Amino acid sequence: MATQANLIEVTIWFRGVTEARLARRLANAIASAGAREGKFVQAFDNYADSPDRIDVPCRSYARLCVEPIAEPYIYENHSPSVVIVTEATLLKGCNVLKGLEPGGVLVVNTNRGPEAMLALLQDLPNLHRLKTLATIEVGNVALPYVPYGAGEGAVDTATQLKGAPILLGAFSRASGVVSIESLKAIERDHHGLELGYNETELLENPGYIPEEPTVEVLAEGYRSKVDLVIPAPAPGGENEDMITGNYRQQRPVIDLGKCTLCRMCWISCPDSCIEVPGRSGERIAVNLKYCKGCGVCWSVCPVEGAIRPEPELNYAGDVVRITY
Amino acid sequence: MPRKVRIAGAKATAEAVKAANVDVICSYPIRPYTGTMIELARMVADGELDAEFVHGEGEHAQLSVVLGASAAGARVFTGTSGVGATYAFELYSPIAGEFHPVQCMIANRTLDPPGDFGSEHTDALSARDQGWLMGWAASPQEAYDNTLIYYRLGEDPRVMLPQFPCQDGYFISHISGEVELADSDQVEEFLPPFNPRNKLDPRQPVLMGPQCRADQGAAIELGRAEAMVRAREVIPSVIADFNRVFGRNYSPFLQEYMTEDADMVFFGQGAHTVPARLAAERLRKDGLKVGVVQLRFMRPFPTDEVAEALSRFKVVGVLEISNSFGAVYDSGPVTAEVLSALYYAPAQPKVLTFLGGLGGENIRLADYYEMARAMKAAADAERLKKRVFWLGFEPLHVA
Repeated sequence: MATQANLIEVTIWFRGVTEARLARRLANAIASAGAREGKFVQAFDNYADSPDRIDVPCRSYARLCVEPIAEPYIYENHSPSVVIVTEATLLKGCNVLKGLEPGGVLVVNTNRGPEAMLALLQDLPNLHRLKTLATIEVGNVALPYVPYGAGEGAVDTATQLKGAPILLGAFSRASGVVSIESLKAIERDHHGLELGYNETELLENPGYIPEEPTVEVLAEGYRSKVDLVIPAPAPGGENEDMITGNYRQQRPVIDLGKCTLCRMCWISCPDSCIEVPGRSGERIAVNLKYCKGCGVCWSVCPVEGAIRPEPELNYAGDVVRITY
Repeated sequence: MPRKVRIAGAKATAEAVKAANVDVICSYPIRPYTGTMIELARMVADGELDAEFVHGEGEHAQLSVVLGASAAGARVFTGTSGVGATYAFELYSPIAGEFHPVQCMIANRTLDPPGDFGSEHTDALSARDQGWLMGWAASPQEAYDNTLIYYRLGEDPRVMLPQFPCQDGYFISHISGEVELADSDQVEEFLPPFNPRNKLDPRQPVLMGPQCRADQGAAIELGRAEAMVRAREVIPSVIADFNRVFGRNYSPFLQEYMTEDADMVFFGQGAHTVPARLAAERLRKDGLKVGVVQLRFMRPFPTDEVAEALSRFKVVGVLEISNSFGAVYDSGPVTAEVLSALYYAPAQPKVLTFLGGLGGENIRLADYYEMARAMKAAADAERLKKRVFWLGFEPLHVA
């Protein structure tokens, strides 16, 4: 539900720190291109995400409108028309379709194609509002592919900015929110823009159901005071408000036949995600609800192959979505 | 040639600090102002700005470092937000009292509790009585411009006072807007090099701010008070000079919007005056003649200008983005100043206070409409039963 008719909200999901510059560049370029087309625009980062934590899911935003933006200081894009995802595992960890406007567009950086991405979205309540899904592989199309340690489609800051024009080209083709010509006035890499525009794979969502967009009506009534003393998780318990499994792009997979139960991973895990359940018949397990895929466990493991990293997208299960 | 870029207020400030060619910067991270320091650190590392970049171990250290550097004759920059601004508080009085024209940006953040990042002006306004120049930007461009204006004002030999250029956290610091970056010739013309009368120099030792006798205290403070009075006198010519060099159109103290035929006005500082303008435009369709008056300087407070400007209207609605618990009429620091200024004004408008945007909350367009309707009701009422309201917590019934 938009706060204003004609308001187009674009949300960019990205990985904290490693892709922050990429996301900001996308948001600023989209807003600047919109301004060239005579629209009123804004570009900003989500203010409540924690962008200084490596790989944390974060959001940047752009807003475009043919009339002045009536509510310029709303902290989030609550009803995006277009969502750009700079790293495909975010589809598994986050509700990227939250608040999506009917007829929405999703653009994903991945080499797995749109059908595989659609499969990851099947449990999301707004899937019927998604009209078009576009994928483009920024890592492989035009660039040397330089992983910064883990992950698909995510590359280090030196090369990731070269991916911006390609993603912008794909965004323009899939959404039509700004024209490729307007983007060419902002981004110097015209080759990249055209590459993204021409090579993005488009898929119309078969489950799309058209509906009329609605405009938000403010709730009536007055607020009351709140109590600062609230329940907290018990010691040893899990904090449901700080689920971190959606940081993970590579998952630690344990070969129990090779594991010697030396507990090096258990003592080294910075998030206490390695579990050793019992005194007898002990087995090492990973708490995937909180494991960030940081790689410390498979780095410290003294037995070759006892813990190995596997791309998270190879696994359909263990979806832990954050609620925000 | 000046060039236009799309950047947020935090980065715009860093660009202005670079343009001002500062000598010493002292940092300590706290959101939302951190974006400025990240950018300055990058500029120094990349060789774009030749400055000493010192990492303080806290805000108290930050302000201590820039005090010393300023005393040695350096143009200095530091900044903070929220509880960082209160942790540094001890240094504010010595810096002003010893006439070091330090610049400390504040990107506003709510004090704890609740520990959120949102903009509320209480952090900066808590330090309003220390002898620092203080005012709010309402756009990234104004944040950029204020940085240069405040250096010029603060380093003026008639003033020599430190400065708090403020910008609302997130609303200004984190939302990109179009900013015209100055040309070096413009900056050179507007901002002369910092040249204090006294500098700390081992070849000519002096003491700055030594322990003084009890009977010297009031005399020292009188000097600070007179500097603030002179700042008020200097501001119009500095703003005129700035407008001339940079092609802007700032009023020295009060930026008015749609006030010519207005019966009532929103009065406030910083970001929240921007949606107020759109509300004022749209309210004309409902026959409500609403204008907006943006206060550009809280210190020195433009007493005569406020008295003269606000006495033209029937009702003034103060947007109070800050707390002063137990203040006059249980309002807030801006209302207290407005009411005081109006006491000797040619005519007294009715003054309403809307405590809103607290904890960094957004004031919605519908809220502005509701406030305007309350101001209209106040204009029509013979007597007011209630004048101070917590926006969103109670009906705005004035009579």
